[in-house]
Amino acid sequence: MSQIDIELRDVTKRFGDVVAVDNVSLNIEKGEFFALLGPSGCGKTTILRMISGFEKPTEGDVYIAGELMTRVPAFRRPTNLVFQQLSLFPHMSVFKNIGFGLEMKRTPREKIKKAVYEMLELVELEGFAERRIHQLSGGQQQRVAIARALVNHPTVLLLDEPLGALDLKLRNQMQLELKRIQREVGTTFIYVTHDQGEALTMSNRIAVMNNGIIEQIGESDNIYENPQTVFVANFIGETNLIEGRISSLDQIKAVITSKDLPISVSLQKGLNKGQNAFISVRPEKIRIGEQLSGLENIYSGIVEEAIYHGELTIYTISIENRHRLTVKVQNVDMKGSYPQGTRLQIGWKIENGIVITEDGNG
Amino acid sequence: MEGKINRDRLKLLSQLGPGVFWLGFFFVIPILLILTYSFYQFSDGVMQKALTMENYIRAVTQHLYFKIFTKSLWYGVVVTSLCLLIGYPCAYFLARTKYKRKEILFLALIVPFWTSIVVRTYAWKVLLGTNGLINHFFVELGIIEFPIRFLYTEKAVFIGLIHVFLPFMILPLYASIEKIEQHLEEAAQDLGANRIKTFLRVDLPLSLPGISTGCLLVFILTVGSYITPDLLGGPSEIMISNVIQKEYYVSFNWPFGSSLAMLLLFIILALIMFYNRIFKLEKITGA
Repeated sequence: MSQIDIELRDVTKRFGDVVAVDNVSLNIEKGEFFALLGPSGCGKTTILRMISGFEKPTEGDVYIAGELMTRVPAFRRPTNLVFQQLSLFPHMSVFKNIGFGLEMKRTPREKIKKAVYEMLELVELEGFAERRIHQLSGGQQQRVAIARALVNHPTVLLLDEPLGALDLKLRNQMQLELKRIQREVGTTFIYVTHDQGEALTMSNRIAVMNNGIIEQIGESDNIYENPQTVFVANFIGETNLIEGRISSLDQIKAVITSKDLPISVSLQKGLNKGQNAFISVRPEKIRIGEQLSGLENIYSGIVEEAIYHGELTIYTISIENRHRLTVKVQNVDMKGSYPQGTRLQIGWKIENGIVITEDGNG
Repeated sequence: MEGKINRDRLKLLSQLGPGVFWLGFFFVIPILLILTYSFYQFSDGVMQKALTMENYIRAVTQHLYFKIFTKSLWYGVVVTSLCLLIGYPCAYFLARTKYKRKEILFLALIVPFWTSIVVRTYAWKVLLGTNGLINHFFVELGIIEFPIRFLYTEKAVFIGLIHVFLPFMILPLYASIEKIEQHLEEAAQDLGANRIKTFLRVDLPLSLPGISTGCLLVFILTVGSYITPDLLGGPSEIMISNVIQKEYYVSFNWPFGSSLAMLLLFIILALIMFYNRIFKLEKITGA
């Protein structure tokens, strides 16, 4: 079993009457790139601040590398935080900024120099040591902030939406950069973001948070393919959610009826007849027009809207006059384009309809 | 083209005019007058329009005046340092407090400005007197057996000056501390700095503009202060402004008073230039 770097045990944080984090337990393994994902105000930053020591849990405990952190002040914790606002010291040079942490540890000057130059190389800022912070671009400041945190060799590097202020292109570039840095240093990264794309592309595991609780923890693809709650299904990517009631169960499949429309799904544990359930079908998993033979769910529909996006076309299709589904079709060739008003058949595989039951256990 | 340049000139003139006029009429001309007086002779109790250096020679050579000048500057240093020591925590508290009614705290800071310095200084006379409120209190409480002599000593002058000039220290300090983003303090702590180190490495350097402005204000005001040493200090604690005032209104020796005033002006200007070198004032005011 791999080593646990961060453990949260039944952690609750209240600000007055507001519950920011509600009884959260969490294990993060050594060397993981772990994302805390959720909308603003979901408690993800509060968790980060409790790990770094800037907030104290109202209840529960935080362990870092097996040690209880409750009485350890922020400045003694083996964590470093890359702040959302970056928080570089405006009155110091790049060199002084990056060397600050080591200086606080009374590291000999020669060692600081060596470590800082190594870091500058890692974040590809050689030759910027004597620059002032305000002389750097947004992306360069970002790199300095990361270097300033990493130079201390923290057990865990905490990142609080550090790419939020960058434009899209720089953001994508920095995402890859961060991934590379994490691979090179092997430090555990905890990355807070509200951008699901960022979380999916960068992290090994994701915890999706909403209203102070963790809705689901899992590997990126698992979170996307098997959302366990309605919130996760909606928040991660796009999905079609169909609400219905389980009308029959057999050896291999369950049938959920929604507005008199039977929809087959794979059999899962914990499904009972008569139970309310949601079905989540990702728009790209729905097939249209051809190659429908052998699919369990085939319905006839009419194209209400077709929006051409270049590499794909997004259709809004009304099926059996009961449900309106979004369908994404790759434009492999232009023959398969269906204008508004076209009547056609659509369908999806039984396993592509993910069942989400009311209590959140899929 | 021609018309545009003229219009621009007119605009510039109308914008600069009032200020230049004000400065010229109320500052430059009076100073030039005093500068001229300082070279005039004084004989038979009247000012003579004959040029002489004797006022300056007397001011520089007589030990008494040297002593009063250095004492005034010394008072400036002491009062400025004490104001900084007292004012910094106050300003820091004001800048960082989460107290919702901050404006009340500010009001408390500014209200004294609405009362005349004379009145406030007289209030200290009442408080600090040998039979004053403070001594009465201490004796009643049994902390001291006999009243302490505050009034007409250095202590009273310091107390009075600090009281009057403290807001001039706190306000610029507040302005620069408030501008320091709190997450910078958190960043320092995250990197392993304890509270003291965070203060020394982040807050202190970033509030330097406020410290420098506050110190300059308090120093200049203190060195030139007149009412407080006059009322609280008595004859043994006079400062240079009191001497100048006496030359003008008691001895009617305007030339000598003027030369002392000019000397004070030049000493302070020289000090500011020196100070400027250290703190790079133009950088602070420019940024």
